[in-house]
Amino acid sequence: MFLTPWPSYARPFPSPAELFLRTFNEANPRHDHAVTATEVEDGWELSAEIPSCSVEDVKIEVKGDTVTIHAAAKAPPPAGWVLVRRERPEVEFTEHFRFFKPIDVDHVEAAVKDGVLTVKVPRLAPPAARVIPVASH
Amino acid sequence: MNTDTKTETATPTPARVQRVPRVDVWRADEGFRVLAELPGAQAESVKLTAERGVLTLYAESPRHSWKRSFELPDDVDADAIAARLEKGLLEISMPRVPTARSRQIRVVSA
Repeated sequence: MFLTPWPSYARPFPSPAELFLRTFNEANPRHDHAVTATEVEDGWELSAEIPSCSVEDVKIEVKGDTVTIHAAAKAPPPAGWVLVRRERPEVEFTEHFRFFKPIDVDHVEAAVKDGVLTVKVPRLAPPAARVIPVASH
Repeated sequence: MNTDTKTETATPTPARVQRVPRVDVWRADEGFRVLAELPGAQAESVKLTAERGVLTLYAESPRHSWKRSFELPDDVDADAIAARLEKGLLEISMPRVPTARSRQIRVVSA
């Protein structure tokens, strides 16, 4: 599984597959925002943990068969305070999700609640069967 | 989707995934400020306990539970610790005891 809901440090004994995937994550150390994709009854649900982000910090783009999530939050450091321990990564990432089944582009919905972004991507209902008139010559 | 994944979804999902919240700690003359990530948690589900110099944070959301303990610095006023949760981020402010600030002690000659 590529995407797990907990950060890498919570898994002290990673599987060989995870070790392999970590080499990619090292190239992008900010990639630790627990982005998950789940198949639900009427389509798919993407969710990303973006604590401290507001609605304005998130951009969702749907183009063809791809949904792109972009989130970035820049909090100015409080004046007079010194950072003595830093574990939280900066929220800034772009994730592309390509769907291999038709998606209902017009009804993609997104919401941010308690620092969790949820994007609902409905499945496109297959078009009704069409009767093709046969022309005679 | 392979068969393994199907079996996984068929079994009842575990109650909650246990996690350790990530924190940033800021320091100033007036005290400390801890920012803990609790995405998906609501204020009612957050429990903060300060006991015998240890601050324990426990929080729950439908999918996760978080737990972490911090040893409080000696000069933090445990009674004045306050916290607020906003957008999945818990901000704990820990003011220092005013008397614990450094103080010059005058030495008098006998």
